[in-house]
Amino acid sequence: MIAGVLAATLLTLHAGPRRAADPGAEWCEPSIVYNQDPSPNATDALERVHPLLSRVRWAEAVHNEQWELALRGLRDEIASAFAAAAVGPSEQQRFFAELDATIAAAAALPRRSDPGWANYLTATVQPIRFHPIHLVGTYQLFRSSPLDLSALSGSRPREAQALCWSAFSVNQVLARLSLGLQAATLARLGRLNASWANYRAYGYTRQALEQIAFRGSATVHDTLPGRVQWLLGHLSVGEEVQWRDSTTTATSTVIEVLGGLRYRDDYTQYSGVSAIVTLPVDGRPGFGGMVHFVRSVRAGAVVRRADRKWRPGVIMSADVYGFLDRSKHVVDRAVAMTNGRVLLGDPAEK
Amino acid sequence: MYQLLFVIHGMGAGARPANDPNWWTGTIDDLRASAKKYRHDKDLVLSAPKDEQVLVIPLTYHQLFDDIRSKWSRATPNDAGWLPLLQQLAFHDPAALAKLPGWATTAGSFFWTHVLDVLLYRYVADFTIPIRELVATQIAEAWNRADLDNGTNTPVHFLAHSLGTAVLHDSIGFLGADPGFGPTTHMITSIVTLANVSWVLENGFPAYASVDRPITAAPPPNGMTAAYFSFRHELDPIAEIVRTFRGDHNGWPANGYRDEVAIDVKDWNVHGFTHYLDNPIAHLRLFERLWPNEDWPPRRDPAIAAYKSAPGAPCPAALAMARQKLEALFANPFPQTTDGFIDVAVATFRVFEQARDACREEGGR
Repeated sequence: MIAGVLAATLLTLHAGPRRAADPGAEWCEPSIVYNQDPSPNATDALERVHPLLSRVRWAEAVHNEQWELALRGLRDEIASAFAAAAVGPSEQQRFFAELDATIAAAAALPRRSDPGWANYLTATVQPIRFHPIHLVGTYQLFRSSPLDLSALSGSRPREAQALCWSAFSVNQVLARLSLGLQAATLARLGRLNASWANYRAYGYTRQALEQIAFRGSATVHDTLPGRVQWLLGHLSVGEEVQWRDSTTTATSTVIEVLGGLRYRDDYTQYSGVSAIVTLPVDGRPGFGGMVHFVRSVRAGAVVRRADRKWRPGVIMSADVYGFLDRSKHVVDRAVAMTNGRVLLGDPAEK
Repeated sequence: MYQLLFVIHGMGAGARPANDPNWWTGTIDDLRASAKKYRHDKDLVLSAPKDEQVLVIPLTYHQLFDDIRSKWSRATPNDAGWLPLLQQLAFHDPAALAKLPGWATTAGSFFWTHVLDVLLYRYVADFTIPIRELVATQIAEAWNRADLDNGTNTPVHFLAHSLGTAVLHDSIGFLGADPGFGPTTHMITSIVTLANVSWVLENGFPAYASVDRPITAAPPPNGMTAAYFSFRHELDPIAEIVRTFRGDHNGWPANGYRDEVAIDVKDWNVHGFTHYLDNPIAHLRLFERLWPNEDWPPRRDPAIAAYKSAPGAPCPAALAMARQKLEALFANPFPQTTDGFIDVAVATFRVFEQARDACREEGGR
């Protein structure tokens, strides 16, 4: 017993200045406790629940995800530590009520492959529940039925020490358990960020009229850009080719009067359709439709009244506002390539 | 075990010289200079933390604003032509959209470097959403790494300034809704906010009822912050005039929330990150959370006295002018709305621009 008290005192001295701003820091502050150097040969029941020592003893069970085994084992050790530190019955009762509820929850933990695993872990196990809380000027254990550790530290420091070290020992097991949740979160965040980056890099420009007409289509409650993008009066330029004379082209203003695009899951591509009106520099307007096959590749068919007949044509369009979202050079090159295919690609029409 | 200190910037962080692109350079230098008095400067590291050290993680989102400024620069050679491009964006508040030309004229050069950041973040969902997700990712990645390294829950602290307080609030709200980083699996040891604007810029996550609130604050489900601190300057209109952040007026108990008002003026930019951080009332609060085994209270009064007697920027006439004009702003009636807040910010930056020019004439910066 005396050796245990001595060891604990030495451990406290090792932690730094004795006087702390907030009473209880030497036992309840993780940045202090986890930077101590307890003896691995400690036999005192109180010192044995130092989290750096208990971690070693229960490492294998934790590694094998035998959560209930580790928690039950810790419970026995904590009971001994509480006895050694003469922790009051009221504090013991509250601590073990939390611990027993946690053990029961861990015993019924679904398999990790179970879709309800994450929800069960957060709602029932509540892994953070044993972490001491450093409030303003004081330390507290537990949220629902708080234990004021600073008050305890002043008059009964060994009890505060036993409670906090024990809490850290349980907490680190539960922290390891909850690490499994973080991987899924990081993967989800990665997908969201990639989607936004793709949307900014490859998305079809939203022009002023569309911004005004469909204002608020994205809200702060969303996590991704809208999968559907409506087109309204979307302006671009295109090269129009007469059906019977593919060597003659005319530059036209293309207005996508109304249409819609749908993005793929990762927002690198989209496809859709729109109703269009084309306005050549010198000529009558054409009417038709356009298909966005994939990003930057869109083509349409139009008919134009000429010589008292409706004459068909093909239109290729470039997004004149594309420079806002990607280099104009890339747009120009894509337009040139598609024009080349139209002009040279179908000998049967020549 | 090492601790994490996330530091997040406010508006205007992208306006930097080409030879010093990292927004955090001056902030971390200042923080280290303050910590040096207590022999903790070497404990604040930006990489490869050792036991007992504090890994500082700068949270950066200004690149999204810089990108659009860069695109506009390619579209039109000077910022006079940017206004129509800004008006094309999907502002979800017609009142704000209508006020844009007036704001651009009044705020001067600060409009495109500073006010624009607030407008894009607050009013355009295509910025709000990806920014909060980007910041949430930066937090989650560092936190996860630290928990793995430490083998348990890492003590985590946040230091936020100005617009960064709102971005941080939203990002924690977003991240905390995910089971992997919510209030039942994680705890934030401290949040220290300087010129907190998260109430006035509230957008989707209620300022006082989201997961970043103190653990001891109602209502359930629980918050995840052990201690939340808010500092504002009595002459900082951005923090003081419209919807001043007051946790204590909104049910946050004293054991989870404290705020304090700074009064000393050491620079014409009383709203500046480092102007707040240099003040011992702010940085000592952070230090006592980072190193709680030390006896901080006796250090407080001497540090405050030394700060008060320090000379400040070498342009006393400009500082006096700034003080006078900022005081005058407090006499103006401003609507307690978000666009009323932008009115205040614009008027404040107009004063700052005049004070900056006057300070340069006196030989200051």
